[in-house]
Amino acid sequence: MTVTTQGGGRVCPDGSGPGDAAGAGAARPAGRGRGMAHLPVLVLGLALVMLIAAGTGSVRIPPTEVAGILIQRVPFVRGGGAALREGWPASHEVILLQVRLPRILLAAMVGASLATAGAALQGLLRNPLADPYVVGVSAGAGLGATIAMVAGVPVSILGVGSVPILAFLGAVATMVVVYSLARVSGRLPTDTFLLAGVVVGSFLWAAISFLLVVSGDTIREAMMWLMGSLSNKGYAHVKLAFPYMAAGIAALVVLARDFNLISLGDEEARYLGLDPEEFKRVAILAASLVTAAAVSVGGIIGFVGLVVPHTVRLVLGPDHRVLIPACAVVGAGFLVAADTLARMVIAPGEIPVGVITALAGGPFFLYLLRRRKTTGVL
Amino acid sequence: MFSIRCMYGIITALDGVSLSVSGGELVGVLGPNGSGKTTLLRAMAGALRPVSGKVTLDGLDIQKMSAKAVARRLAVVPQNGHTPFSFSVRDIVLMGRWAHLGRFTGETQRDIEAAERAMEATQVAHLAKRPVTELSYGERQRVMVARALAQEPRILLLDEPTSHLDPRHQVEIMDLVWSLSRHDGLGVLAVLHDVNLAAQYCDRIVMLKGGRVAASGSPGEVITAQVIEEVYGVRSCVGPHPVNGRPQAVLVSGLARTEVR
Repeated sequence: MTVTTQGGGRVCPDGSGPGDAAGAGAARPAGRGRGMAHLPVLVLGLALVMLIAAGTGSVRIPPTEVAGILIQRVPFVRGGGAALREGWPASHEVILLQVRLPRILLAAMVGASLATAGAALQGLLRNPLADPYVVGVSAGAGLGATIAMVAGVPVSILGVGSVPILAFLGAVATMVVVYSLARVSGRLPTDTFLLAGVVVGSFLWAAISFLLVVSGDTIREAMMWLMGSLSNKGYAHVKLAFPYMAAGIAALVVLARDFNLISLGDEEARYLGLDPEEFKRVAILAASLVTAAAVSVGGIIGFVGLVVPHTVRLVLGPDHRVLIPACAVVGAGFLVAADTLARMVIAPGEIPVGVITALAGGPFFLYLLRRRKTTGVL
Repeated sequence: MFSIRCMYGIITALDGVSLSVSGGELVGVLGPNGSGKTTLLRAMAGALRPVSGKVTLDGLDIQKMSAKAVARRLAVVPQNGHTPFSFSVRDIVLMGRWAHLGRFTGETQRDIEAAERAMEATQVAHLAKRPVTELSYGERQRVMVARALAQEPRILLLDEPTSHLDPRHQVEIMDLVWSLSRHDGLGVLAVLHDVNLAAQYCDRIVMLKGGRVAASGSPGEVITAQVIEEVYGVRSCVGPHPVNGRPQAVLVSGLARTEVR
């Protein structure tokens, strides 16, 4: 047998391979070719969905008009927009910019957050059926929000009421509790972590149920929130959630390669050079922050964080360098579309968007599971 | 590598084991189930902190090195590596380059070449685009070796690389491991289950029993009927291999002679 490997002695002491500098300028031919090419297509699709969503509602606004109104708000091209100005009634501009746009932006952000957090946690826990709520973050946020609604806590930050603030605090507190519960002498065993999340989650849900039962009249409002809804939100919510979501999603994208390693198992990841405990700390923090921000402004919207990563993985493969950014885009588009349906189906009434995502996601997920049963591949 | 002692809770899994592996050498670790073979391998890879003693790699305490620094010098082929996700073989092998990459830089041409060389050496290049989840056990084992080689290590640790393999794949893997130590100068330590394969390929054999070294030395010194009976508690006859003269053990049934016949 002839072996052409050049093993031994080729490791540079400073850690950078000798070829690094030479190869850095070269094109990036790596294994991610399979999926990266699809990203611009997905972004284009997201833009299209947002454009249609912005024009849809009790007042229809044609896509060209939506584009015109948006373009004339963009700095530097205002002049060009002014030329188009005659075309639309002023009321359309108000509806689009003050009512629909913030909601669409919020839906896109929440969708992107839940989907990336789901993809990250599925990789981290090596379980394709995990979702952003396994850590119990949703229950913590739910308890915070319920307390705010039942007790009517009069807090307001940045023009946002007490519900999202307390929801966010509840989510972060839960994350901290679950994390410290699951830690065993400096390590975080994946199974213990999952169990701690489930147990703490059940406990908190019991507390929520209790509060709802004794509260009486706020139950309808609270149920709407718990089922996930993006109604009655404005730019204040967008501004509140954006920093956490942006920072968290950016961190998850940067860590994508590490997610590939950890999905092989803690021990294998270590042998390949990744300290699993250190990584889990950072990754869980990022994923939970993103989820907490999403839940605090959108309520508990189910299935996005489960179905989107699953579907994207099925089509584009398991490489997290493709999967995580693609999930952000697809998750955003999916939730914008679902939220548009939520406000259209029984207009002028509204269905909680969580009901739409579950109604759309549930059967689709069953199809995926069936497919898995026949092909055995995820 | 110096004498180490490892404990899980209150159970001492390894006690005063001392051994070293240097470049160009193939060391086999044998012993019955629960004798501490895998514990030894995990300690040597830095994944387990010994209670006393230390493991040194290039003169440095492995516990004081980062996982990344260790992975650039030492690679591990774990037992039945498994992922629930259908990465392609090429993706898996490229993961061996992780420790050589910067945080914000992608794989360079050099990384790709290292991965391709590793796939050629282990004869899995033709599988590059296949998902690992669809491979046979023997193919997956070779992919794991390829990933370890892509790390361009100087020390290679293997945990029972031949278990669950059919005879042909066992010989192929051992041939490959042997030539990695002989021709490429890697220091190789392999935890093995099969006494006879170890005797054929290894330069040195360490026999563990109950977390202690029961015997250590060349195959000729270690593979004897006395040592095998003492360590495994089973009678055997040891004779020379008809082709290469290495000692080979034939187990003798514990039943009376007439019954076996």
